Amino acid sequence: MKAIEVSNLTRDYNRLRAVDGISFTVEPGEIFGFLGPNGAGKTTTIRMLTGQLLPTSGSAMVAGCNIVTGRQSLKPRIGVVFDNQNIYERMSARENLVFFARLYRVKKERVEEVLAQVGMTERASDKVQQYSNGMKQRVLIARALLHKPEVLFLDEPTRGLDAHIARDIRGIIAGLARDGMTVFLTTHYMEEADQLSHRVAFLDQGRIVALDTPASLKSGYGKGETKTLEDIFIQLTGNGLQKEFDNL
Amino acid sequence: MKTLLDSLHIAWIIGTKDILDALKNKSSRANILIMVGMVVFFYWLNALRPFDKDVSVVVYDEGQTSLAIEKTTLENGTTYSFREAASLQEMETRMAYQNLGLVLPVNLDQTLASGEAPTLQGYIFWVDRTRVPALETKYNLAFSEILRRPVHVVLGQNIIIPAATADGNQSFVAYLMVYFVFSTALLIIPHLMLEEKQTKTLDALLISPASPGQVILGKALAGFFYILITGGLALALFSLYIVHWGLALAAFMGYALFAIGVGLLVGSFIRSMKQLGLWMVMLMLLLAIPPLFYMEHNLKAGIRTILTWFPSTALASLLRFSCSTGVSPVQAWSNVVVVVASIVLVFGLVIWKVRRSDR
Repeated sequence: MKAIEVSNLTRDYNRLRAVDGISFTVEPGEIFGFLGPNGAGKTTTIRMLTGQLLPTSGSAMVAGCNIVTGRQSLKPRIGVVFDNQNIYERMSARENLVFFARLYRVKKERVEEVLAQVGMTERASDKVQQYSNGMKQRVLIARALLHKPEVLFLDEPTRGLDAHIARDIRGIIAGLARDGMTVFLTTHYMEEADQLSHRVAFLDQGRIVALDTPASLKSGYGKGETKTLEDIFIQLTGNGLQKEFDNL
Repeated sequence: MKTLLDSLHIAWIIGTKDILDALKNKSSRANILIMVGMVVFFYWLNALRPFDKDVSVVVYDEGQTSLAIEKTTLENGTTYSFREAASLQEMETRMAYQNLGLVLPVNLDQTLASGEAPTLQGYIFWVDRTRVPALETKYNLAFSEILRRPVHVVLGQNIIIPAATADGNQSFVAYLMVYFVFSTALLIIPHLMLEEKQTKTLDALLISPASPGQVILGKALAGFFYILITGGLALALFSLYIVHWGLALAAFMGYALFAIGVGLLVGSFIRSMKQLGLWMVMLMLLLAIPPLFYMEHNLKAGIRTILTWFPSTALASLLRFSCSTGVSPVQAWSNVVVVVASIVLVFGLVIWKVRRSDR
């Protein structure tokens, strides 16, 4: 069984087609990089795959659950780290995690496990409002891991973090995949995608314009030259932005 | 059954989180303290009457006696003023907002002529029933001074329960409850939703096993806790007015549920604190004015009928009925229908709104 199976998924916002008939599959234990410029439809896709948003058409199965009809059974099978740091600031990291552990009916010992996993045990009793962005991001990852989800969605998990913390977070993500967790990752950092992802998909104007391993993309589009994933990304995406720029 | 228990369990988890989280919030704490202060202040002003130096008496002269009782200021500074009533029934009706009903007996002239101390039957309201001995002593002294001879004022079992349609402090107390409960609801409950939306923690909640309905139920539980602090305190302080406790508690639950629904509805629709301030003022006016006008009996019948369609008026009427006697079932049920329909409507709208933002 595939961890994620997407078929012709489409989402319209009034007249705007944010996601335009995308199809792909993700294997269990795979880190799947989902890359695209701003407004390409990455977050909309994540919101659909996590059951937060209904697709206009098409279908998708995540961890064996239909994202429309099996939404309630999907919830305990997925973890999500959102693109914003949505965390209760007046509570400590531990209080935040205990709250969600109770919702997921997870034992309190698990809270200490995930705190240790993201390296937050020492500061776990401090209020979140005293944390740096990096610490908040660790707590968000810990929250998403509490119930040991089969598929973890990470929406730009290292955005705005300094190099040290970003590296730590990448280490955590790689470790999760080694342990067999499927990771669906969006990021603007091509180096990060290259380093972490088993396969990447480039999304542009709601459509997948390329999907392969980073190595195959680089060799396939490099045409004998040494190109980085970022070079390929710039070559294949940003058409919408270019058109907007030309129209100015 | 299991699903219901699961739902209640999840709602309880969310509710307790919100209660504790709001207590950590300075502005929530300040709002609660302000509301508790208001409740205590109005109780002090209304029930203890600290500045009240006047006693108003409605007199029914059973035997058309020759005694003329006039407005008198006693040595202690208390002024007694008098209004006449043509019958015992009229005396009871005219006692609204008055302190005492007094019946001058048929044989009063003979008793006065014989030099004996006359015995006057005094009537007090239900709310004063626990103070009979103290009031008897007070009125004995007062009327002995007013009539310049020893007088016995007997209150005994002469306790008047206000009629459902009568004016009086019970109407004011029912109105105060509208003010306390809705102010608390609008000051605190919208923040429970607004903060979750602004910090996007609502997304995290909705991705968890909690459904939109369970999230709303949790918020409602937290809101009920805060309403219990202010509204419950008010109900306890003004409890002496209550005649029918079942109806009073049902009315209180109606106040709480409707106010929670309105609070959550505001929290679901607004996007900023600025909008919240504007909506609060508008809603307080919309909720507080109809029951206030409804207390005015000189309004045209058509306008009074329209005012009864407002849930806050219906709630105030139900609480007033719980402090009254002679409530007609039609009156009570029409108010119950308005309240229940309003509660269903506001909660329906909240669930619709959260579901919409959810998908």
